[in-house]
Amino acid sequence: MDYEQVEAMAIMYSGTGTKQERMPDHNSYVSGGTPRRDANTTHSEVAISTILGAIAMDPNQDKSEANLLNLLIVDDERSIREGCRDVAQSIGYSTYIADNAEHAFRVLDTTSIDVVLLDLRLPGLGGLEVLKEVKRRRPETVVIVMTGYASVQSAVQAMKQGAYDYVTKPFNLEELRLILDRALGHLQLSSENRILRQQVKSKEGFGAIVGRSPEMEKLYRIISKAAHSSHPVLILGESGTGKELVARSIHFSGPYRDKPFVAIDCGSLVPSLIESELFGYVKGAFTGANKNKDGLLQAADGGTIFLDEIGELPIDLQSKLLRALQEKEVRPVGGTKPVPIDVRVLAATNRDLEHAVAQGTFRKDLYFRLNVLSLRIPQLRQRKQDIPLLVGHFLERLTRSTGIQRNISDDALKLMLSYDWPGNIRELENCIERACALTSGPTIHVADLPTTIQNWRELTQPSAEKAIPRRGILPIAEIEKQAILGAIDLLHGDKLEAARLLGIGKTTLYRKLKEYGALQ
Amino acid sequence: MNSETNMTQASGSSVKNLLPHLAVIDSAGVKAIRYNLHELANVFTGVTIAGELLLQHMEAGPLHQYASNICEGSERGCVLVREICRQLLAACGEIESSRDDLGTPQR
Repeated sequence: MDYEQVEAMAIMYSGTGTKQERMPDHNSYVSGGTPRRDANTTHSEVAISTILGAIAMDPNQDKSEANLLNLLIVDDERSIREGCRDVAQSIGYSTYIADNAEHAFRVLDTTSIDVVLLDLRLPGLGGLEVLKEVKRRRPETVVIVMTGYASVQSAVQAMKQGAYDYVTKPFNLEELRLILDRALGHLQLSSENRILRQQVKSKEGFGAIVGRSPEMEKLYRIISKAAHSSHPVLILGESGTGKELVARSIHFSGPYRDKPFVAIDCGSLVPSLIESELFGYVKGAFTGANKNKDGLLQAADGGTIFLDEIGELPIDLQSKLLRALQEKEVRPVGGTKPVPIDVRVLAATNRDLEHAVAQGTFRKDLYFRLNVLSLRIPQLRQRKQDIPLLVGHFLERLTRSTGIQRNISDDALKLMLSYDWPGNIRELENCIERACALTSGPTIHVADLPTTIQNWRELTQPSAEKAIPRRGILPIAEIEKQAILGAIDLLHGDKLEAARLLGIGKTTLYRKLKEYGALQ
Repeated sequence: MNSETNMTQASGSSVKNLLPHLAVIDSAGVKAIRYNLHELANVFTGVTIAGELLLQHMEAGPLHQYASNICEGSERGCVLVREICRQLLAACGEIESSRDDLGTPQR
């Protein structure tokens, strides 16, 4: 008997087992026609692209069709072929069946098979030979072997030759479902990683900014406009959202790209040195000033000066900065002659400057001077669809630096998608670096993620027990305070390390400590 | 019959003479048992899955009970086949595999 066709008209089922529609199934290879899709594209890739919402799909392609994975069942026992076929279809596979090696190869030649369920004992060419041939033709195909004897020898032999998993006969419905589900998960994960890598390679947004969410697309448009003007830009965003990256993108996407880009962290400059750092000094201005030195504003002449954490600038220096920006000249400390400067000013803060103006801690005129154009970077929790892309980006970067390729498990990615990321991208980056350092294998699992994120799952997964708050509701500010003080305590006072692990900037950490009255 | 089989049979005969209470199965016999066990496993796998699928599609009633009995019988058969396989592996000096031996599937 020639190999059997599933059915001329098969009933397709969704992954949930809901009957969706009738469609012609696999007539293409029976009649010698071409398969319906490119043999190099696996269905899982298409399925994952739907999940991520990141890859443009052919609008004419039927989604239910695109989401099906192709499974080939190779067994000489008719009842097993048919049983496995029905179970696989109910899970969401599109099935093909063959009763011997030759038939299996013919299916493999004409159809892009994602998973092969292979009996090790076949008439003619044995199952191990078929396995070898399948892996030779399509190494990415997942092969599950069905063996009659659960000997270590046979299982090891199959795994050595590239089998993904094995199941011992006799098996029941539940075992079969489990193993097929696991293969499905594996394919989705590997395809997801592949897509992430492709996306990272194909587009990284503006410069090094990663993100394809609508919020980020909007940001790119604003950056593009800002880049081609010479007006000051005020960049707003929470700590860790990538304000400096946006500033760099504005500079390097515009006409100033060949000129200097000087970044100043106003929050980290020593107060007594800020003035001389910004405006320079002349010889003899103070003890140790043995020669003239240009300030950072002069160093950026012709290019862009980026004033990070502008909200931290002392009020007395705010007026000097305003004067320099308005007059386009600086007066070095100890000097009498003003020095002309021509700089594009970009400033950033995570503070509410309007509030600071109202409180009198930030000069209103400087605020208006800086806030000619303003853009707000979305928080990571507002663009969670970018998380897989960012994870892929960081993994790719780590692979480049360490030479070790790593991927992330479905569960870990799901958890990361559910987490709120108060420390934004900086926290995500630290999380990935930490997980890569802790994981023993090539895949990052939930257990490799920081406990804050693991605990988040427990907090967000309601159960009868967890539904009742044990310690009452804490304000977010209190939780933040506990997290910061707890981290410093755990790290024996190492604030820099605490800031790094918490995913916040050191300036933010110091400011918070000042607010708590915990700064010694 | 080749010389290897003759030797196996000869050694089997001598063991049998020395230890008359032992049943000795030569390699060809083991091969035949393995083949039959594989076939039996095939039969039980087919019946078990078909029975469970049948059960899923049947409403409560006498027919459902019959299907349930088939499943129960085939499950018991599966257990017995596994047990015989385990005994055969042990008798042949082979170790039965478990997932722990191989770890989780490749990721």
